[in-house]
Amino acid sequence: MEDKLIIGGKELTSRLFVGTGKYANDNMIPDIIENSGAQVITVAIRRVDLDAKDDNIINHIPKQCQLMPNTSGARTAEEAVRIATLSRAMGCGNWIKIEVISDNKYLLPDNYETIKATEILANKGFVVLPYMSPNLMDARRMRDAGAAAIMPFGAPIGTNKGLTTKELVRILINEIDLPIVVDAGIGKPSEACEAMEMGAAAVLVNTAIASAGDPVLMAKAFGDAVRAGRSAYLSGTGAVSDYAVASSPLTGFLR
Amino acid sequence: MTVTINGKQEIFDKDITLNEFLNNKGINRNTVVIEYNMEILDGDNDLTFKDGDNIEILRIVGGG
Repeated sequence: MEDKLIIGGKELTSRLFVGTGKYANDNMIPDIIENSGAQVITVAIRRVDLDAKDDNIINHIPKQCQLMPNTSGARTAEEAVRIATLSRAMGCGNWIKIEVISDNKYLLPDNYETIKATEILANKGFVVLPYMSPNLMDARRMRDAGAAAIMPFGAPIGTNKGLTTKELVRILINEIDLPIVVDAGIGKPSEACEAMEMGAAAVLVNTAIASAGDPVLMAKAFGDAVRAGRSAYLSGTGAVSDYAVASSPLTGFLR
Repeated sequence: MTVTINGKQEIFDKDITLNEFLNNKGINRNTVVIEYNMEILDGDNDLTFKDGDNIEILRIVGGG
């Protein structure tokens, strides 16, 4: 069966997007990417530490990957636009994950500023993937502003709490005619699988892999789970019944 | 001459260019992007720091 995920005119080979933050050692990132099968890889932009020898993360990301810089650190639409413009100037391409956050306790995205940034950056030719608090009206505004996909959170960033926003994400999947990418909070492969079974177009995972006992093995587990969930979604799950429905014939019993 | 670089005030007692500063710090220009007084610098254009300049030197790091 043909099952393509196309975002920003690019056909993607994997429905698992992977972040590159928080690894104990960045040298493991190539193995993470290979074992997860991920193609879309997130990065961030930060000031150079003038007093330390920084490693260059780009050296660890295979060339065939689609970079998706985020605008983390932005508290307003204006700051997100500034970071996006810098990331494009740096040669990261024209994909951008808009992340506008002014709440330091829960790191919840500011949908209002995110909508404004989406419109500005889409008009500048960026492929815009806004990270958002799952809300139907705001998702519609982001779509109308030119978003290429919508990225609601499953739970607050880095919490590994799973798909706590399940019903709201389901509404977005049903009502928004753009790819819905569940971003943040997913802690286990089973939760990624559940999102995919619901019809999410993709999931973005960072902390759950980076904080695992064996991140490379966990990256593979997430890749497997996302493929399984997508296949289940495409196959169509069976009906749920309140009563038992025998799987074996109810005739011809040996008495 | 005082120049703000990555939010920190740096004092220079003689003229210095951007590329000289980067070389002194061991920073490869190809791995960073420079914002000079809120304007992104294209390519490898060099310039001499002026008193009151505000310079951001940024790079890609791991993130989610």
